[in-house]
Amino acid sequence: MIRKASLPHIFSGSRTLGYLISFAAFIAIVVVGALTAPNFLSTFNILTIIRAASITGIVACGVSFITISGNFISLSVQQTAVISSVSFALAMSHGWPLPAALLLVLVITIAVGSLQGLLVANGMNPIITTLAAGATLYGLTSVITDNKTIKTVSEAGNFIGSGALLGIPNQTTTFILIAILAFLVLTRTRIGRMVVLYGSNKAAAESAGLNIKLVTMVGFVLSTLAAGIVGVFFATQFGQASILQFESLNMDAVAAIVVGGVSLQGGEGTPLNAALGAVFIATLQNFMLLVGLPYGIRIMITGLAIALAVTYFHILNRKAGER
Amino acid sequence: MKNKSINRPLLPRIALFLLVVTIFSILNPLYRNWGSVFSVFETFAFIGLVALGLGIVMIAGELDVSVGSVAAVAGILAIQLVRYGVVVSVIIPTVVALLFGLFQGWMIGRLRMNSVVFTIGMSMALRGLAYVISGEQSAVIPFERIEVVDLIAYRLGIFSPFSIITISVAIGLGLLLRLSRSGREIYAIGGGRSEAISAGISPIRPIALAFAICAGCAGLAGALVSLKSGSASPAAHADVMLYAITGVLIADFGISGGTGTIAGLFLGVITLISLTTGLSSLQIPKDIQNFAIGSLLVLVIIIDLLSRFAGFRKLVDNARQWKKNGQRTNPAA
Repeated sequence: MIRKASLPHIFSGSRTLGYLISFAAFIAIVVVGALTAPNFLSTFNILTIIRAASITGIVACGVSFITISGNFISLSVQQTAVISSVSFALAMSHGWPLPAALLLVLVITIAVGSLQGLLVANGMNPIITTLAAGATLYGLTSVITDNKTIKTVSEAGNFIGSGALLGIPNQTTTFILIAILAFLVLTRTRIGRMVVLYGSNKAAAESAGLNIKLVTMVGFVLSTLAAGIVGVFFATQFGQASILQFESLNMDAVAAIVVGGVSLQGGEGTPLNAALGAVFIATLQNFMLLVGLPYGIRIMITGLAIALAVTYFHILNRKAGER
Repeated sequence: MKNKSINRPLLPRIALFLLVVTIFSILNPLYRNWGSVFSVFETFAFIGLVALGLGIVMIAGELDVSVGSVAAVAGILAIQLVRYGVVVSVIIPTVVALLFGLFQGWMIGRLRMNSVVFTIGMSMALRGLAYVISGEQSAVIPFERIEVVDLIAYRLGIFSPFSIITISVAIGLGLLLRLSRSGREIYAIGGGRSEAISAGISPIRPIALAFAICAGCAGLAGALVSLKSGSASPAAHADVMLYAITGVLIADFGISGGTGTIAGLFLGVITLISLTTGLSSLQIPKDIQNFAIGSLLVLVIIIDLLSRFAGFRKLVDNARQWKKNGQRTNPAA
């Protein structure tokens, strides 16, 4: 029954026009970029864009489960990524074998995610909960690292962070795989359908007897797992970890989700939307960098794009609801 | 709406405040002097002013993430305008922030969209604006106007002009919330939005007003704090929202809106600042302080959750009692 359910709302009726307009905006940036910035469409630059999008994109795919299940967003994935990165680097620098260090990150992220999920599942406001969790994790990280950079260089780690298969960096491959996997989990599995149902109609989900606490927990654990993956990638790519990295990951992930058109009311959109949102923002930022806009203007335009996107998709959803 | 829920009891919070002050006074003799009371009020002047605005937005059941960026932009504007006099350099950034908040609140109220993500976007945009108008470097007060710094930080007993302004704003906003129709509308729209709208309250006006007050407070705070320190950085105040929210939540504002008073908020923020001042007086490093604030916020959330469960139990008990009474009276009728 559940497996036969139709494709998610990405292809349904009135929202299609909205996605077409978003797609047109993306094409417009690419065309303007190709005309004004040299090398914008070179293979090297396209790979650079997708690689830049991959860190945000992986996290956004995870967080999109929170959003789609109707629990809004997380403001603690950045701090989760930092503490994962730092713990991984600390473990490796103390001579732990790679699997043990990875296991440590797995345990930390699952613990952090399920704790927040538990609080939210019991009726806490997700924004305040994740804000508090983020502040605690940040403080904890600065205590355990003493605000120092932790160096870690190893061959195995080096392959994870800087290796490439068929000329495509591992981060990029992982990003694409995670986006596809997350899409399939949401649309083709029982738990995924539960997430969508809970997000689109809480009352119906509850009366249908869904385990709503489980659904909330799944969203939070998937998002912290994604943050953990990103943390390991960063530590292995640069051979070091510190509290200063990922300075805008929370905002970037939210931006990718909103710009990709995942509805903040829940129930609409897929992780693929979030992934495409991340690529969209990376393209915009790459273009602004290539034409040499100063830092202030770049974040100003990114911020306005988020505000515009949230307004635009909100109006679109309302129209779709009224029909 | 129950009137009782607005007036949450002040007593437990006074007790918490006294507990914090007593503990640090015992631990550190340097803590119990007028100098540290002055420094608590100085910190309160900035964080308290931001928290006041944020508290009003939270009473309306919304959240404004952009307060830090608003304060940063206002701070840079204030330094750049200081050559036209101190009054101009305080008033203009505040009014600009107020108008921005009015626009932001109007958008959120008019479209009934989620405030958090919209204000995240605006927060980034304003942060960018702060970098643009400052030319990506710290703005410093010109040497010939340096007397402004002394004026803002001038010490009058335990107060300074800055903390007196904050306390006056607090009293003004307290009166506005208590006595005016607009204040009542903010409580109503936060307590039960659909009920308030069906009772004929505009869904736009109270929210626009709350956001305007919030941004205005953040702008005033940003302008005054940069005039006091004589410089303003475009990257400043990124974490003020965390402090302000923690203060507001210690003040026992319901997270879902519709509750909270200015007096409670005042106590909550003062308690938080006494705690951080106490921790620094024991020379505990800043990052452990941040960890402590984060943990405190988690604690407050868990207490809020438990109290909600307790409230829920009471409700269930009441319903049972009522049912029992109903059964008893039924046969008689």
